[in-house]
Amino acid sequence: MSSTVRALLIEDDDAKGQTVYGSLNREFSRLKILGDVTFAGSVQSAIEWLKRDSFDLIVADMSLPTFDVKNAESGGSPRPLGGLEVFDFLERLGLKVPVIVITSYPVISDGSTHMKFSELEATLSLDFPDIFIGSIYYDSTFTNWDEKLGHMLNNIFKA
Amino acid sequence: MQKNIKKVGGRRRYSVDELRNMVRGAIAQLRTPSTPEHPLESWQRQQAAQSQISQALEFGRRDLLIPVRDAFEKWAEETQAEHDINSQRMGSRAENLGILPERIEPNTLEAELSRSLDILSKKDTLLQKILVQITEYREAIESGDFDIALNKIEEIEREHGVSYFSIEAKLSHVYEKFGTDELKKTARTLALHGRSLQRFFIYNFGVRNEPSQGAARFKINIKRRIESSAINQNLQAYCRFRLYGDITTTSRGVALIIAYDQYTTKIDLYFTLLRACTHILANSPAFSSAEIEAAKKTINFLQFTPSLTLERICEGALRRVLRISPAVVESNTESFITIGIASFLSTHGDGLASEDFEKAQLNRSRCLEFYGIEDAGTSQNLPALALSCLMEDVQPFSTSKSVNQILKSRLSAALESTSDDLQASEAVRALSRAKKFHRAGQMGEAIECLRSALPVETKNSVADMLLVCVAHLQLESDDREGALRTIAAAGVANERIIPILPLDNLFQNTRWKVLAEYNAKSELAICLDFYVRNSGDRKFRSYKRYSVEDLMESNGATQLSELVKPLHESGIQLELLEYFFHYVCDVYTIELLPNIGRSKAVMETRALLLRELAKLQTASDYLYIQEAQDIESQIELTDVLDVLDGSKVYVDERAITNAVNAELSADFQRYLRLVESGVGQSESLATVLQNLNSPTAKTFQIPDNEADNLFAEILSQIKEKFLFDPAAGLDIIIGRRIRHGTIASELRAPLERVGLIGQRPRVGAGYAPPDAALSITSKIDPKYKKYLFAAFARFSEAIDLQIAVLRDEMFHVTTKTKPRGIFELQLGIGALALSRSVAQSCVTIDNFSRECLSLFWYFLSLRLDTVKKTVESDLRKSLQSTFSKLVKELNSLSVNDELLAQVQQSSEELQRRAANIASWIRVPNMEADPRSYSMRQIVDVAVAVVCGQRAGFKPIVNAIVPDSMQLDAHGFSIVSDALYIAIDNISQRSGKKVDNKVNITISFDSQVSIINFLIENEITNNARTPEKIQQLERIRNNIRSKAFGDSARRDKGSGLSKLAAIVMQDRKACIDFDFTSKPGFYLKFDLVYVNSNPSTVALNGHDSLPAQEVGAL
Repeated sequence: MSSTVRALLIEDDDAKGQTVYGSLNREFSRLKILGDVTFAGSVQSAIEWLKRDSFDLIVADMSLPTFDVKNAESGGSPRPLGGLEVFDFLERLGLKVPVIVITSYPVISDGSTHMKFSELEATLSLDFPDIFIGSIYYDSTFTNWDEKLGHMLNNIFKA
Repeated sequence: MQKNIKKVGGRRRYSVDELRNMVRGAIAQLRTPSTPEHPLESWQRQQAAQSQISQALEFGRRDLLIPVRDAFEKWAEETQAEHDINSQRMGSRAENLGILPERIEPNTLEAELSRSLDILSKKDTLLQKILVQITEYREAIESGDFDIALNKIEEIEREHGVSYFSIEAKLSHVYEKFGTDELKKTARTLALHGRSLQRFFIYNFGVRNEPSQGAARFKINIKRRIESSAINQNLQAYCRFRLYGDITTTSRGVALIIAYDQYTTKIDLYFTLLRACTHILANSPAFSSAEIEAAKKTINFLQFTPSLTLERICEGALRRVLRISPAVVESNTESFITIGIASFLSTHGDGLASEDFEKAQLNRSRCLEFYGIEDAGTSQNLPALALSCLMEDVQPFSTSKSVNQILKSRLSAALESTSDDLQASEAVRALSRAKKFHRAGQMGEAIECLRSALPVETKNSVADMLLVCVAHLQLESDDREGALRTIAAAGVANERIIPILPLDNLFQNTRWKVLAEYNAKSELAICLDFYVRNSGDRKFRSYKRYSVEDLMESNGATQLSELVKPLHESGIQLELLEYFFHYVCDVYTIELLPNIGRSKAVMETRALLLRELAKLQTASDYLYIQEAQDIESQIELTDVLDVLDGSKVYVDERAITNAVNAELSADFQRYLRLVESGVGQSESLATVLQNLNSPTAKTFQIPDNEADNLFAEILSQIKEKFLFDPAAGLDIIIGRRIRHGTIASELRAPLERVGLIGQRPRVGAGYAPPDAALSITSKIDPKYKKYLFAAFARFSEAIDLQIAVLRDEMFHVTTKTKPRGIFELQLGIGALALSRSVAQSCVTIDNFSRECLSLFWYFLSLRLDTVKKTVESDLRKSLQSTFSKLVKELNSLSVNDELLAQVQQSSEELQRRAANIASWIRVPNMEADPRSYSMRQIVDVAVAVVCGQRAGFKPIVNAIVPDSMQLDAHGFSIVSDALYIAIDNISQRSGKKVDNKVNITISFDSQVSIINFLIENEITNNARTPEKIQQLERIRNNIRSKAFGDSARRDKGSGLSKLAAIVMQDRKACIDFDFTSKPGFYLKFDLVYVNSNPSTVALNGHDSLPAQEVGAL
């Protein structure tokens, strides 16, 4: 691991992204780690970052647009399980980067299949045991997600 | 009396005396007098009596011991006979048919069979007689003489009464002889005096005969209607049986149907018993030996000897599909059924024969030949059948009577014996040899012998059968690449066999690193596409994309279209190539390929790919070109919509500068002279600023510096026009483009589309529960219903509140009355100094006004960049919180995952919409837009915008426009505004949202340089009310007296006034509207066409028209 921890934060919601970003920085400083967080707002931009850069940590939302949403770009096809595509891509490249999933949805639907938060966690544990660290249910009205994130970071970087 | 009532299982138990009294009471109803207050027809009395008697008999069945019950039933029958109610006949009075007890609880299957035999054996003489008549009827059908058949049915009805048998037969013969109209008429007549269930049956007997009604669709529709009704589950099961022959393989299910037909007619009981018993024997593993014995005994009693043998039919069907010369058929019915079963075996063909067969099964329930072959439609096709015979050890001779089992046994027998008739087929001989090799573990030989039997012409079931078997054998021998190639070729040749190709074995639990090793990349991608279609496994969708990426990389292609040529030259079969590019490389796959990066590039890539594909000149090239053209049109439309989205915050600068030039030219020249004379600069800019920001405060003061004072006044007036001009200013245009329905539609439309948001019937009323809430009420505990509705009402209110905040408070120019308005143009000292220095460098007011507007946009943009982020962030948070509350409330009510998932998807959609709303907050860059827009594009855009905003609005638009007319960005902006208002008015006011025929006629009058718009649409009858006529008259008067300004500023219900504000800027232009007699509505309006280069104008069939500006100037 490099001296600076490089984190990729994959999140399309700016407000949530900023909150998670703040939390990550707090935890890095608590752990006395120099953190460098890069934002990706879609599956496509996450994949592009992973192709051209190396990261020590990924914090990913599950439901993502295909492209970064901006003026004259509505984001392409919505990918309710877009976070999983990031896992697939890591597997394809053989990258062993720890991934924490942060989602705001208790149930995620990919058209025909509906996956509860607990089922998602079980699927990820089974399919990607080497890189999946855990998932966090994000609710901005509570702070327990923040504590859980701190706990997971602690496990990754103090281990 | 009450204390003597006995209860069983919480229900009342009746004594035989009470039941006799019920029957007596029913008989007494026949004598109920008809009075003017309560008029009663004879048939109504009969129905009431029958209903009560049926109920008494069912209670007797349930509550009495068998000897007592038998005695009671005998007594009831005799009593009814005395009063001419049904019981002595095999059929029924027409009006009494279908009067069933509310709920029937069946006994055991054996008991119901035995009781039914009792009922029929008591009528043995009549039964024998009617069986003769039924035989004669069947013979008439067999010989194709439907006149005699119909006469026979009428004879049976006359002698024995009506029955479902006779009604169903009559309707189908009426249709065969006289067609659909007569069928419907007869059904209506037959249902005239029926009770509700009876009417429902007869109506649908008619429907299922109609040629346009497919059998499968009919079953789905009826099933849904029955399941959504309030009738109990037992009766629902009977309805399904009666209407489309649905019969379960549970003992209780069969017993239930038999029990119900003990209350219809004895004729129907006879047919139902036959049907039930053949069903039991065909599905013997699902029934006990005692039940099977009882079924055999019943069939014997009913003297049913099938005229056709299933074995013979199955043999014939196999010969047909294997292309062996057919055996001699004995009858029309045998031929019809054989062809029907062969069509189920076939993996090719148009499916017409199988549809005919299924329809006949529905409508010829009286044809005993169809009994016992109900499962024919679910039998396997030939490749699946052959595969199971090849891979498994199938019993050559089965005791089962199911069609599938007989087919399988027959084919299996053929594989085992070289002297079998079916070995006339080369494919069967090859299968037979392959089976021997397979048993011996000689897989290569098995595969080779199947391959060698492949016919030259591969579009047939025999080729499919051989390819499916080859693919399975290849995979079994671990030749995975070979299997990939075979599967891809077989599936592309005939997609119907994809479900039986060994895709699961090939891919299940396989990771990409294994798949990445395969060389056959295009075949791999095709097979992955098949697998995703079947399994929906998301992970394999990624794998499919990886295989496409690998192919691009290995061929040095940076764009997908660059792959067409090398793949074609590699010799890959053309059909596979087409499938690969057309289906595998779909939009979802292209999106994440390298070098894409945005939605527009996805569409461009797909269009280019299709054009490259079309160059290969395959049979489908015209389809590829058509799709490419559609995509290209869509790209153009999206481009224009983006322009529109990017200019929601807008000012008609030309109108403003023209007005400023006219009003302030003299003042500006005076200002310039004052500056020249040396009184141009004040000591303090703060004083000027004060003048600018509070002009009225200085009205009665003598100015310190006359030039600066005049400058402040000029600047103030330009600013006022920029912000508040009633036709062209910022606030009115934001009102038109954002507040007028757009915000509401942006947030509400996605929720309305999926039924998550309710509406209030009127102001102040509560929210009605939305469809999503209504649809799950039956699935949650009834006591939670009101909590569910309350949760959705709170959710709906929160969304509407959010809309109101954005519309009524935020999307406004900041004023004292709109302090939260986000469009605030504050000019500070720096801005003032800058504009004064600009003013002094300008020679004319025209120069200065243009410069001013640029400065205003610049200063506005400084604030908007910050505001935009805040609005988006606040809106997202607020929406997230609203959705989060709804989810929590739904979770506490234990609603199903499907609804929660729907809520989640809508939440995501609204988060995107929040970003979209925020994206409107930017200054426009229209003047820099060098493009021109065709009138047709503008019409398309206006229609697309309204349809996108108004959920459920789907008009049929016919537009006649001058094709060569092109408008610049300014003209586009004005015309699209006007058309948007006009079309939105239709969506809101016409009352007809679907298939409203909207005619848009746009013409150009070059003599007066006016573009005429005529928009006509349909309205519903109740859209034209005296109140609405009065309202239109009021609007018309306001427009005549030019008093539409205030109305135009309103954000709701002001479409025509807003349009008038655009149109009436020029006295040459006019606007007119009214209801028409059709009933319909028309709207005519004009816009002035300003032509800066008249010599080049050529319209209506001439070459071209340069981009011009449109407006009322």
